[in-house]
Amino acid sequence: MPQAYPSVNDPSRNAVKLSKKAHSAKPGGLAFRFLIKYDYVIMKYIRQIIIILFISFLGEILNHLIPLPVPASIYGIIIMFAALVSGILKTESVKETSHFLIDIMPIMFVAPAVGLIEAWDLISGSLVQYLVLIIASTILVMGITGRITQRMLTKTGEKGGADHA
Amino acid sequence: MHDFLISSVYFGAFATLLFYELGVFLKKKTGLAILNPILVATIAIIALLKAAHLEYADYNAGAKYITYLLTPTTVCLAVPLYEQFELLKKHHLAVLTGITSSVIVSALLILGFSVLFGLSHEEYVTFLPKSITTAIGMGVSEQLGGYVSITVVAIIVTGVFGNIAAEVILKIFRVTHPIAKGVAIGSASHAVGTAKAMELGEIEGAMSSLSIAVAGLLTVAASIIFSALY
Repeated sequence: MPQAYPSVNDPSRNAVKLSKKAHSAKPGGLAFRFLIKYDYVIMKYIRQIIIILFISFLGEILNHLIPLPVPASIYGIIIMFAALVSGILKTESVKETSHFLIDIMPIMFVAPAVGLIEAWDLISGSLVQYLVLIIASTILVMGITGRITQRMLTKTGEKGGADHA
Repeated sequence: MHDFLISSVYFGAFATLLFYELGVFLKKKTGLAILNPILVATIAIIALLKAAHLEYADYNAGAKYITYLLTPTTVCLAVPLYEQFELLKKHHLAVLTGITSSVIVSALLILGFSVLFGLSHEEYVTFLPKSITTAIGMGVSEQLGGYVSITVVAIIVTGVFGNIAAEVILKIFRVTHPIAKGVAIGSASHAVGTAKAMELGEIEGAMSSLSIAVAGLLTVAASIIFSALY
């Protein structure tokens, strides 16, 4: 029952509602009031984390069982996406935690990138080639993809701009 | 102090967050795309480790707990993909053709350059996933036996370059349709480029972020096939 979760915008109303609920539901004073608040607010995030970790774990199992060089996270994305499309999982059950994790995701790339310090001897000799490869391929991939997509859009009778909003 | 830092569990994670914040601050102050917070943090931490005579392992003893979140976070990319699914369905033929060709063109170019420069197989698979989001690209590189840290930096450099050059590239190739622009930016330069697509417009931004996940998934398949070719 997602509507029972207190809204973030209105802490005072929620506090009253929660304490009333706490009193009427079970006698037990402050300790219980805390537990019920905990249940309503915190448990939502705990549940979202449980679901996300469970799907990651399933991805890990598939990565272990299937002899393909596909990372566990890819199986995880597919499982999560299938669960959302089929309706087994509602977006509300994972939304806040997902968006939070995605927002902070860039921080997670720093430590792997610092690993460059160990690979330095390996790359210092071919740095120029690497840069040429990266820049030239990015220009061509972006340009060619844009051309092909645009061609397909005009072919299927799409016109640029306003009607897509 | 040196011995203490070697044994510290929190130093690595703290330094990561601190220097990332510094990068965010610098980028906001200057508005320069080249001051990407990941690049700033990486260079600053490498300099710090060199100056303090610390090994990568000493730093990673703390920093690995941040990296731990990467797999669950990547799984979460399915959520925005699902939220934008309607948009994909509406233009599926053009968008999917565009993204598929980007994945194939990218793999062919990496193959071509690897042959041209005489790169090793390990270097080749390191660069195969360079146009897709770091979360997926790292996993692909690792599974195929590439140098993961080089993949990460190549992906970030691709993103930063795509972000800076997107407008010029699209102009040269005469790409004017907002959907085509979004697909081109997202599938060539992932999330860092998408920031530019969002500046260009709402459709560009949505199409670009949709392309990140789709291009990422298709690249997993393409990389496995292409890794056998060289």
